[in-house]
Amino acid sequence: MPAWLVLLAWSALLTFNATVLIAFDGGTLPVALLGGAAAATAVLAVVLAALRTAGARDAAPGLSPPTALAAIGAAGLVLGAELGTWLVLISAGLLAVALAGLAHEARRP
Amino acid sequence: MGAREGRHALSSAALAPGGVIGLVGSTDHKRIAVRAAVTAAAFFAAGGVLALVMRAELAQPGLQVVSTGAYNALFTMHGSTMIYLFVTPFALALGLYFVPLQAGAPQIAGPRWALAGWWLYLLGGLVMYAGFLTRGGAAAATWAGFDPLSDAVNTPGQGMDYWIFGVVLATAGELIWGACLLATLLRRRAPGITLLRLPVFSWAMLVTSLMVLFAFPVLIAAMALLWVERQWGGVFTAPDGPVAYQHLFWFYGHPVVYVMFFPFVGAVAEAVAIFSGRRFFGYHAMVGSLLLFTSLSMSVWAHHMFAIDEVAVKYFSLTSIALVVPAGVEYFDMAATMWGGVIRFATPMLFALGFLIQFLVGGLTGIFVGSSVLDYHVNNSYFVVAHFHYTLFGGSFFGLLCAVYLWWPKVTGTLLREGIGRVHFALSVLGANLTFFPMFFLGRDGMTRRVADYPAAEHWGTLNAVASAGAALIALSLVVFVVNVAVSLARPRPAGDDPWGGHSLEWATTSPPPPRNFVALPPVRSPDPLYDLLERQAALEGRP
Repeated sequence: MPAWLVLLAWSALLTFNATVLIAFDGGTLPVALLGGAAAATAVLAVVLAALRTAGARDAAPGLSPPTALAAIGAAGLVLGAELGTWLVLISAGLLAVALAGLAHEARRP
Repeated sequence: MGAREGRHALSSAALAPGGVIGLVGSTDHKRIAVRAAVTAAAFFAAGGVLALVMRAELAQPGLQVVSTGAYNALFTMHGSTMIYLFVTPFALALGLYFVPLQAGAPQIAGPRWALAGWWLYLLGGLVMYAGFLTRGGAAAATWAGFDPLSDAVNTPGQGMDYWIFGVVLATAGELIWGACLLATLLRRRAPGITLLRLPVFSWAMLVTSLMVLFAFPVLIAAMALLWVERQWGGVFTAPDGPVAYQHLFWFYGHPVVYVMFFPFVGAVAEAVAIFSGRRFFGYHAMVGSLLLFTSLSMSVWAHHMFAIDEVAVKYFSLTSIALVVPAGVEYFDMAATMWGGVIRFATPMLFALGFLIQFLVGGLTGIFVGSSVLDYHVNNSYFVVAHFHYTLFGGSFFGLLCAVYLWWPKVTGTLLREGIGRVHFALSVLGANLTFFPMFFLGRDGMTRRVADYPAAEHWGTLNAVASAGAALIALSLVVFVVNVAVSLARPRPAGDDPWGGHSLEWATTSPPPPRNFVALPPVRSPDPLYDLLERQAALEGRP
C-alpha cells in the first residue's frame, strides 16, 4: 500500500464526515474546520505521491547544540510578546548565533 | 552483565556522549525520547501533587486546605499538566523511541526538529508553571481556557498569559514530534518494510500523528487569538464569540483525548500478542478500525458543547455513538488474540488487562455523555469527571504503565522486579476505582465539578472521603513504582535483547539499542518478523 493512499483514505473519511455535517446544517466554522483538515490531508497526500523517490537520509550530527539554542531563541521570541522588547532582542541574538551554528554544522563533511 | 555494567548501560542511554552537551543537544531519537519521558514524569509528579491537594480539600465539606481562588488554579493547572505536559508528550515519546526501531530505520526523520520539539515542550511547561510566581497566581480558567472566563476582565494577571504561552510552546513541540513520526513512518522505513508490515503500535502512532498534525495547529491559533483578546479585545466579543472559541478549542480538545489513547492501545496490543504467545488477531481489521476511529474522533468535538444549544447536536451525537463500532473491532481483536493463547500474567500483561477493563467503563459511560439527552443531566457534574478519568487514568495511564513495563528492559537493558510490579498493579487498580467510581454517584446526584466546597446537607462527604482515600492509594502505588525503579537500577538484572519473546523489530537489536539502532536487520515479511523466525525454526525442528 503506497503511503499517499493512507493519507488519501483518511482525507476521504474526513470529507465524508464533513459532508454529513453540512447535511446536518453544522454551521460555517465547524464545516470549515473539518473540511480544512480533510483538504490539508489531501494536499499532503498529493505532495507525498509527487515525491516518488525514497526520503533522503538526514545527515544530522549526533550532537547539535545550535539546534537547542535555536529552539530557546524561538521560544524567547514568542515569549517576548508578553515580557517585552528586551527578551525579543536577546532571543533574536541567540537565534542568529544558533542559525550560524547550524550553517557551520551543514558545511562540515 | 553485573551491577556495574548495568548502571553503565543506563547512564550511557541517558548521558553519553558529550556529558551535559549530550544531555541538551543529542539528536539521537532514543535519547530525545528518554528526555521527553523523564520530563513528562516530572510534570506528572507536579500535577499529581496538585490533585492530592484538591482531594484533601474535597475530603469533607467546608474549606479546610485552600481558598476557592487557589482551588481554581489547582484544577486548572492539574488538568493542563496532565494533558499538555504529561500524557500527550509521554505518548509521543513512546513513538519517538520505538517507531524508528519498528520501522527498521537508523534515525527518526528530522532529528534536529525532534530535538527542538523537546526544548519547546520543556520551556512551555516551565512557562506555564511560572504562573505560580506571578502576583495573581497561576491560570485559573480551566484547562480549556474558556472565553470569557479567561479574558482580561474575569481572569486578570500575567498567570493566565503565561499559561497561554506555555500551551503554545508545549503544543508546538508536540506538533513537531507528530510531523517527525509521520515522516518516519511514511518515508523512512527500511527496504522491504511495507506499511502493512508495520506492527500495530506503529500504525497507532501513524494515526496519532495525523491527528496531531491536523488538530494541534488549531489550538495554537486559538491560543494566539485568546492572547490578542486579553490584550486588546475584539476577537471573541461578538455574541457567538465564546461559541467560536469553544469550536476552535474542542477541535483540538477532543482529538487530543485520542492522541492520549491510541499510542497506549498500540502498546497494549503488542503486550497482549506477546504475552498470549500469538500473532495479533485481525491485523487488517485493526488497521482499518484505527483509520476509521481517528477520522471519527476528529468529527465529534462539539459533543463537549451539547449544553450550550448552538451546535448540530444530532450530528455530533451520531458521530460520538458511532465510535463504538471501531472501538468494538479493537476490543474484539484483543480478546480474540488472547483466546486460545498461553497467557503469561507478567506485569505488562496485568496492566494491559487493567487498561482493557477500566477503559471499557470509561467507554461505556461515554455513551451517556455522547447522548445529548443524558448529557443534559450529567453535564458539568462529577459524572463527567469520573468518565474521563476512567478513560485517561483507568485507561491511558494503565496503558502507559503497560508500555513502561513492556519496554523498560529494551530502553535500559535491565529488568524491573516482577513482585514489586504486581504490588504496584494491585494498588493502582484499587486506588483508581476507589477514587473515580464514587464520582459517578456524586455526579448523578448533582455534585458540580470544579468546586472547592459542597453543602454538608447533601451527604456527599462519605463518597468524597472514599475518593480522597483512593487518591492517597494511587500516590502510594506510584511510590511503589519509584521503589521498583530504584531497586532495579541499584541492583540491575540484565534483560538481554528479548526478555519477553517479542514479535517486532525492536526486540531484534541490543538492549539498549546502539546509536544507529541495528547492526543487521532480520528478514521482514509480516508485522511479526521475530515470530516468523520462531515459527520457521520450530518447523525446521519438527515442533508444532
